[in-house]
Amino acid sequence: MNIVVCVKQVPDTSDPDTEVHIDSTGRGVDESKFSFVINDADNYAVEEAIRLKEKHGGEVTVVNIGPEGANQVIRMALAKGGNSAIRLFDEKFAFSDIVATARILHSAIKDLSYDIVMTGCMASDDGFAAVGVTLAQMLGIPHAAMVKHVEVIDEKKLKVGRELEGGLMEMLEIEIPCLLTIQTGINEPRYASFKGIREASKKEIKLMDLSAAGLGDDMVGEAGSVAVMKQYSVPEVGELAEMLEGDAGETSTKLAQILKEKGLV
Amino acid sequence: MNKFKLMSVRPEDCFLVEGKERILESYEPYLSDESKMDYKPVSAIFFPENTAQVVDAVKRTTGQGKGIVVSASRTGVTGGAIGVDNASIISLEKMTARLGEWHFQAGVKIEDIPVTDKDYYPVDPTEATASLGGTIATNASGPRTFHYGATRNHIKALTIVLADGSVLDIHRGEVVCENSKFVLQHRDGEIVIPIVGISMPPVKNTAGLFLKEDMDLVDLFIGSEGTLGIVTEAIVETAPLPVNRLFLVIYSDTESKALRLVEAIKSKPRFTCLAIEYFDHNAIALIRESDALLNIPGDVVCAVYLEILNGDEDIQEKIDETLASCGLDPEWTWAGFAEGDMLEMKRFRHDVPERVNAIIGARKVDIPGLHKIGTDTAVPEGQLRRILSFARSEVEKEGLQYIVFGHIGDNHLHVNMLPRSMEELKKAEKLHIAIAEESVRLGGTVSAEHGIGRLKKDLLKIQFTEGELAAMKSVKDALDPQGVLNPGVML
Ligand SMILES: Cc1cc2nc3c(=O)[nH]c(=O)nc-3n(C[C@H](O)[C@H](O)[C@H](O)COP(=O)(O)OP(=O)(O)OC[C@H]3O[C@@H](n4cnc5c(N)ncnc54)[C@H](O)[C@@H]3O)c2cc1C
Repeated sequence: MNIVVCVKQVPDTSDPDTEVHIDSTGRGVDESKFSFVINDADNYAVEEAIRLKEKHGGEVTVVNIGPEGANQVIRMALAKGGNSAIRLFDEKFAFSDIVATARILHSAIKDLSYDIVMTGCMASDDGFAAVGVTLAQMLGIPHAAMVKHVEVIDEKKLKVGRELEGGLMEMLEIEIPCLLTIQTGINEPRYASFKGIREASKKEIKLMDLSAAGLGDDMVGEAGSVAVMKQYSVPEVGELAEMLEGDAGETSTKLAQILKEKGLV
Repeated sequence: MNKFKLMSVRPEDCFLVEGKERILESYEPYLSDESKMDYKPVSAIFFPENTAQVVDAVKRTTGQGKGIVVSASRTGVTGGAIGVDNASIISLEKMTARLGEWHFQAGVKIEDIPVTDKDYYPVDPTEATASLGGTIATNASGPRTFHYGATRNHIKALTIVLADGSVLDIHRGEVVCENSKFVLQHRDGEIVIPIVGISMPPVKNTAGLFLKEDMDLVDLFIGSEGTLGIVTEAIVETAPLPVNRLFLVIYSDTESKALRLVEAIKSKPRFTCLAIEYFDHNAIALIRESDALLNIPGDVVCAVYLEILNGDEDIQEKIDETLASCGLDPEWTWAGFAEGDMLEMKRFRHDVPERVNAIIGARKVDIPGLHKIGTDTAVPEGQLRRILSFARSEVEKEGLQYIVFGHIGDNHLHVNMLPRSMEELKKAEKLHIAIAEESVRLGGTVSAEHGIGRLKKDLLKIQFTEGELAAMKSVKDALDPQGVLNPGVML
C-alpha cells in the first residue's frame, strides 16, 4: 500500500496572543512574528498514512509546497515513519490559488506509484478545503472528502467513513487508487521520537522547482490561477459594537459597568 | 565607588481607590495572591502609572503612618503581596510601558517583553504573567535558569523608590560596596547601609537578602522582596535568541537511569542544554490520569525534559551516545524542533501542578483547611541523590501522597505533599521543615525560587545564623527605619 501524503506548513494560531497584521502590499500578512507548524488536518493524514503502512506494508511519500523552512514539518513527518519526501518551491508559485496549487502537487505526484493520496481536509490558514478534491480531479482518481475512517477491504477497495452533520457517518466503498481528504480526530497522531528524528535526518528530501516540475510560468502563481487574491482587509467595527480594551481585570470591570447601566443586572 | 546621589522626584498625583468596603466589594482580588493566604482589607489601593506617581503614593501612605504592600501580578506563592492591617497597596499593574529597547516599567509582564529577531530576555518563570518587577523582587528563575542563571544575572539597571520617597536610579557597575557600606546621599544628609557579607549557598537562591562584601548595589534590591524599595523601572540584559533547538522528553524505566543521564550531561557536557527538568513516577502517574492524549508508554517510570541548543553537526550522535551510556532507549523519547513541539511538551509541566490543585481542591470540599505543602529547596552539585532519597524515605514513612518534579539541572526539585487530612497536613508541615533542614545541612537553600514572603519566614532561621539575620535587619533599618515597606515580609 503506497501512500502519498500532502502536508502544508501553516502559522501556529493556536496561541490566542498570535496577532495577524496585513503587510504593506495588502496581499499578505506579516509572518515575522509567527511560528510555523504542520497544518492540523495534515498531521492526522500523516498518522493515518503511517498506520496503514505499518499494517499493510508499502511506503509513505511526503509532498509539500513550501520554502526551506518547511523542511521542519517534512522532517517530522519522516521522523514519524514517512519514507521519502518531495518539496516543491519556486518564487513563481506565490499567489497560486487552489487550481494552481493542485497543479503543482499534481506535477510531482502523477509520476509516483501510489495507491492512496491523502491530504488534510482543510488548511487552517486559507480555509479553502478544495485542494485535495481538485488534485483528485487532475489525477483522474475517485475521492472522498472529510474522511474519518479508513479500512482496507482488499487490494482494489477501501471502506471509508465520511463525517456528516449531526454526527452521522456515511460509509462508502472506494476504488484504489483514490484520494482521501482527512478530517481531524480520525486518529491520535503520534509524537516523533529522537530515534525517528535521527533516521529522518538521513532520508532524502527531493527538491523540485518550476522547471523540475515540468510546469510553465503561466501554469502557476497568479497567471495560472482561476481566482486572484486581491486584498486582505479587517472587517470594520460595527456601530453597535463597543470594543473593550485592557486586561481581563479592566475589561470585566467595564463590562460590569455597562451591564449595570443598561439595567441588565 | 560606594557613594551615590539619590534623586528627588516631584510627586505626580496618583490615582487611588479608597475605603475598605468599596475595596472588598470591587477590588477584592487585589488583596490576595497565589499563596491563597488569609488577607485583610486595606483602606487604599494606589495605581501609579510612573515613578513620580509611585513617589506620590509612598509619601501619602507614609504621611498617614501606614505600611505599604507592593503588589504586581500577584502570582507570588509566599503571600508577599496580600492585604494586611494598617497598610495601603501600591499596585504596579498599570506600569507596563516600554521606555527604551530593553528598558521597561516594572509592571510589564514577562510574557509581554518582546522577542526580536536576534535577542530575547531569557528569564522564564513557569508563570509568564508574573511582572518584571515581581520577578526582580523575588529573583525569579525558570527551567532555562540552568543555562542562563536567575533574574539577577540579567538586570543592568534599576529605578527604585525608597521608603522616604526618594528615588535611586542605578546601573550595574556604578555603585559597589566598599568599607562594608553603601552611602546614599540626599539633600538633607545621607543613608549609610552597613553591609556584612553572609554565607550564601552555591546554588540558585532566593532566601534572605543578598549580602556580600564586594557587592553591587543593584544586587541588594534583587531578591529583596520589596522590603527595601519599590522597583519602578528596569533595564534588562538579553541573550542571543537560540534559533535552532531540539526539545526532548526522555522516558526511563528506572529513576536511577534518569539521574545518571542528568549527571552525565552535567559532568561531561557534550552539547549545550538550556534546561533540564524532571518528573518522578508519581508525577508521571498524575499526568497519565489527566492527559491520556500524551500516550506515555506503559512501562515508563519517570521522565527527563531537555532543551538542547542544536548547533553542531554531530550533535544527534552525541545525544544518542549519551542516552546509550545511561542505558536509555532513543525510541523511548518524544522529540521536536519547533516552538509548537516545545509548547506541547509544556503540557507535562502544566499538567502536574494543575492535577495537584484539582486533587487538593476536591479534598478541600470536605476539609476546608487543607492545602498542599511544596518544598522549594536546592542543594549543591553532587548532593541531589542524597536529598532525593532523604525526602522520599521520610515522606513515604509517614504514608503521605507526594510527587517530585522540577528543575533537576539546578538540583532544585519540588517535593509536593498532598495531605488527605488535617493530621497529614501537620505531618507534611513537619516534613517540609525536615527537608529544608537537610538541604541546608547539605549546603543548599530553603528557597531557590519562590522567596520567603510572609509564608516561609520560619525557614529563614534554618538557613541563617542570628548574626546573619541581624545583618539583614540592619540593612532594612538603614533603608526603611519605620518598617513601612512590605511589613511582615521576609524579615
Ligand atoms: C503556577 C505558578 C508557577 C510559578 N512558577 C515559578 C517559576 O517557575 N519560577 C519562579 O521563580 N516563580 C514561580 N512562581 C512564583 C511567582 O510567579 C514569582 O514569585 C513571581 O516573581 C512573582 O511576580 P509577580 O509580579 O506576580 O509578583 P507579586 O506576586 O505581585 O509579588 C511578589 C513579591 O514581590 C514584591 N514585588 C512585586 N513587584 C515589586 C516591585 N516592582 N518592587 C518591589 N517589590 C515588588 C511583592 O511585594 C511581593 O513580595 C510561580 C507561581 C505560580 C502561581
